[in-house]
Order: sequence, then C-alpha cells, then structure tokens
Amino acid sequence: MAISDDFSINTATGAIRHDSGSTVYSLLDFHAYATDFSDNPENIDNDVPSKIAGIRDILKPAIITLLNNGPEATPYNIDDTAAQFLNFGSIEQDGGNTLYTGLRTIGSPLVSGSPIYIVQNGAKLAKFWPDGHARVLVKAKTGGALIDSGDVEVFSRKFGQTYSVFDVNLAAGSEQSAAITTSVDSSISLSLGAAQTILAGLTITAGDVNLDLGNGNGSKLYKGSIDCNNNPLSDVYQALMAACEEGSAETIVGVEGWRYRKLNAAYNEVGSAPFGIFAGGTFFVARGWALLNVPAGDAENYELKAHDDTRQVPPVSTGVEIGGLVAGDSVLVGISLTAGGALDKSQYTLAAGNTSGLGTITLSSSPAVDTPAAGTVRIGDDIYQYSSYSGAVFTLVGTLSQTYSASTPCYIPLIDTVASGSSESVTVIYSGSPRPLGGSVRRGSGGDEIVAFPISATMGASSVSINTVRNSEVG
Amino acid sequence: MTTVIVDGIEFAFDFQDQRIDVPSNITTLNVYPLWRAIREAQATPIGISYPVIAKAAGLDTLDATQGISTFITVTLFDAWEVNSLLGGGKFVLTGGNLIRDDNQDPFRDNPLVTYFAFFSQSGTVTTVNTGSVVTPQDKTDIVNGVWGYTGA
Repeated sequence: MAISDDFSINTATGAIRHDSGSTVYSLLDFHAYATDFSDNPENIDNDVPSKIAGIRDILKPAIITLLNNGPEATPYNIDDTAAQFLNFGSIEQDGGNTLYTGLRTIGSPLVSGSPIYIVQNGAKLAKFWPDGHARVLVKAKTGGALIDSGDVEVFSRKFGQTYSVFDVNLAAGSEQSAAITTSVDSSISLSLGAAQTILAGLTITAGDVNLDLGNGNGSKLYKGSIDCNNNPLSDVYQALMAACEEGSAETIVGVEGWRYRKLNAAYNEVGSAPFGIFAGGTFFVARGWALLNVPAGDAENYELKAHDDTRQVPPVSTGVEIGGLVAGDSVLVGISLTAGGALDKSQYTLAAGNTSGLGTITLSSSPAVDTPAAGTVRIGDDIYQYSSYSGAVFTLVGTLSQTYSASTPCYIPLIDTVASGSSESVTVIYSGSPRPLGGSVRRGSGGDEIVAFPISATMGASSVSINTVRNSEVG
Repeated sequence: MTTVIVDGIEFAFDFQDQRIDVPSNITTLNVYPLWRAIREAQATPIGISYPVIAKAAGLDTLDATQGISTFITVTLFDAWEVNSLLGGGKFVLTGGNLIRDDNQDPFRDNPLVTYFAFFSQSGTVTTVNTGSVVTPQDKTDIVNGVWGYTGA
C-alpha cells in the first residue's frame, strides 16, 4: 500500500486525514505525497500543501510546515489521528499555532517489548505505538500556546524490569530524543499481584521525620517515611516498585505512582527505581525516605540518604554469647588489653560530681559505641547497675554509696551477671575496631562447681560465641 | 572485703591485699573448708573480677564405702596468704596441703602466731559419716588423733 492509499487531502477544507491502513510514514514521505498530490492535473489550481525546511534528506528529520490553500482560503491541516501515522520530523500548521514534534526513544539495553508511555501535563497520552522503542509525533503546541511549556516525560516501567524515565522538551520542533534503557530486574522475584499485596501492608507517608539510626551521626531529617511493617526489605523493594509501575493505582505524595519520581524537587532521582535500588541484599533507599519497622533480620541491610544528602548507614551489631552455662554461674566478660588478659579496669574515668546518694554516674567522656544499653559500671570493687545511659551519664538502679573523686578509674563490662539459664549474651554496636575480651565463668558452690573457665576472644564485626568448658572442680 | 561462711567459719577475702583472714576463734583449720571458701569467694561479684585465688588437687576417692579419699592440696596463686586473726598461740592447718605456686610461705607473717601445717605426699582423709552425735568437730578431733598417734 502507498501513502496515497492511506491518506487523503481535501483541498476545499484543507483537511489532510488518515483514512486507512496501519503503516506509519515518515514526514519526508508525507511531504513527497503532498507535493505529488499538488501537481496532479486536478489539483493544479491549488497550492502545494506543505513545505520542508532545508533540503530533503532521508537521514534527517523533516521539518514540515503546512501551508494555506490560497484559492480556497483554507489552511491545510492534519488532526491528531493523522499524526499517529507520521513520524521522523515535526509538522507545523495553522500559521504556527499548532505543532506536532517528533519524539523518538533510543537507548540500549532495552528489554524486548519494553512498553513506553509518555506523560504530558500530568497525564498519560493515549498509547498508539507498539512496545519497544517508539518514534511518534506528539502535539507540543495548540492554539498558539505550548502545552506545559513543551515538556513531556517519557517512561518505561514494566514490573520485573528496571525502570527508566527521560525529560524532553518539544518546543523546538524537529525530532527530539529520549534515552530509555531497561533490563531485567534480578531483585524482582514476586509476581505483580504478590508485590501489591505486600504494598497494601506498607505505609508511605510524606512529611518531616527525624530519625537517629544510632550510628553516631545523631538525629537526621527525612522528608518522608516508609513503614515496612516488619516485611523483609527484599519484599518492600518489590512492593515499592509495584507502586510505581505503569499500571499502578497508587498515589505517592499526591502524585500518581506511575509518574512518581522523587520525594523532593531538589533531589536527584533514581530513574531505574524511584524508591531506591536493591542490590547485593542491601536496599539503597532514595534520598529523603526513612525506613521504619525494619525487621531485625534486615537491621543492617539498608542505607538511607537523609534530607541533607548524607549517607546514613545503620550500625553493625555485634556481641558476645556465653553458652554452656548452668543457672547460678557467675559470668563476667569485658574489654581487656589482650584477648584473655586482665580486664581493663581503667577503661574510663569519672567526671567530677559523682557524689554519694546520686542516682547517676557521669564519666569524664561519653563511652564507646559498643557499650551495652544496660548493665553495670564497676568503680574498683563497687558495682552499680545502670538501666540506660545518654552521653556520659548513666542512670543507676539505685544510688551511689559513696562520693568518688574526678578521674577515678572505672570500667563497663559487656556481661556481668549471674546466669539465669544456659546462656548469657549481649548485643552492642560494633565499634569499628576489633575488641579483645577477657573475663571468666565461675561457679564456687551450689553443686556442679567448675574450674574457673577463662574468657579469651576478640569481638569484631561478627558476634562471638563461646561455650563454657565445665571441668568439675575438686571437692 | 568479701566474706564467705563455710562450716560456720567466716573467712574474709581481701582481693587487693591478696589475704584470707581466718577468724580469731579458729585454732585448727581443715584445708577442705578453706578450699571451699576460696572457691566460693572467687566466684562472687567482686572475686570474679580478679584472677583466681588458688587451685586444688586431690580428694580422689579411695574407698567410697569407707569415706576414704586422698588428701587435698590447695595451691595459692600470686601473693595470696592465709592470715590467722588469733591474738597469739598456735594455729594448726590439717586435712591437706596448703602451698604457694611460687613456693613461698602461704601464711601471713605474724610474730604472735605459730603456724603448724602437716603436709603429706600421700595423706588420706577418712570421712566419718555413721554413728550417733558425730559432730564436725568430732571428725576434726578424730583426724587430728590419727595424725597425733604415736603408739605402736
């Protein structure tokens, strides 16, 4: 079939319409058709419908202007339907009041059949092009005014693939390009329906959130929160991708999910995954979003970007577990100068003002990050239980039995208890440096007495587990 | 100071001075309760933060039905010493051996007190568990009697 079979030109009205067929023709072919039409004997009295800017070149977009048919005093014009069957250039009509600009997507890799959709003025354009890279005309100007300043967004968001988005301005006419690339997303294992089910259990909220991850950076401002509801982060990621896929019915911070891009206009977006990328078992969350109610198993499997664009990584947890205990065993584990060596009883010093009767102990400086949230402070042979601490101030269970002078040495064990069962453990934040441990498990009476079992270990980024060797004591 | 009561004897442990105080009313002390007190003291909240005080060996059962076992030997570590709080006179250590790991004197010097310790490489302990009204002191007297026996 030829273009003259699919299109018709009404010289009386100036209408150039698509009548049949499915072939999409280049604007150069269209111009050739219009020119050929005008030199037919029956049309010789009518003006040529179109002109082309510059020379004809099949390798370049054709910039076409539709002209007036002087004898009929009517402007030649195409309609939106006709524009669907033309590409590779731009076509202007009505004295420049109407402009269709060419839009072409390019880029590799592109998963075969990746759907492309175009958003103009906040709305998806009705799709008339096939999946895969697109080459179409988009109306950029009407009634003499650019539609949304000529801006369009080009998306490809098929669940199961990485997403892609590109901003294009069509005001200049000709053909404009949008770089779109997609790949199979190896982090997607759920079906879209299953991901949507997970999504229904999440809460995505815009608004200021201050969050301290306990990583030493203090409280940080975020501009939105995602309540993970203790779902595994691998599932949360998939749910959030489902929230942004082409057919999403979600609304995110007041924007349809299928065109949601970022939380704040000042942020850089993550085009392939608007809420952030999941890679290597870690969820690298897009800037501004705080995660809440992350399951314990994923406590270290994410990174945030605060509003101030600083990277916030949850602290690595480590700890010690002493097993092989019998209820009633005395257990003491602390930092030593060398693994298995004597405990460092000068680990810290006291500040001034630790007077008898106070319900707090204040150190001369804040303790290391791997200090247990609750435990004991030992000042010489004096032992004080604390329930919490903030900075250098420890809140005691009880009060000081005497007044201590400034600079008095003290130390804070990791485990300091009488066993209540077969194991005792503590979880702390990893300091970043391996810690030599010392201490002992002892049982001197009450049956099942054992030879004192020495603790010798190094606590690094991975927790230490030690099993007590229970050699029966003499007597 | 950390106090531990074993068999009615209140032992006091000074971990800084590495000293075990025996009350002034004790003139004869069996090594076994001393060892039990040491074992308990080093497991206390204060004691566990210090190196162990001593180790022990022996008390191997020779005849369970007769209650006969080998002597206990307690070895004190570092500079630990036993200190009698007697105002004067004789202090006797029985029922086992008490030594220092560094071979020094296990007793704190006290010019008013004379320490007697009967050490043996092959001593045995006989535990009297039958008979009426046998008190712990009776048992001690019996053991001392065995050691003090000079007859044919």
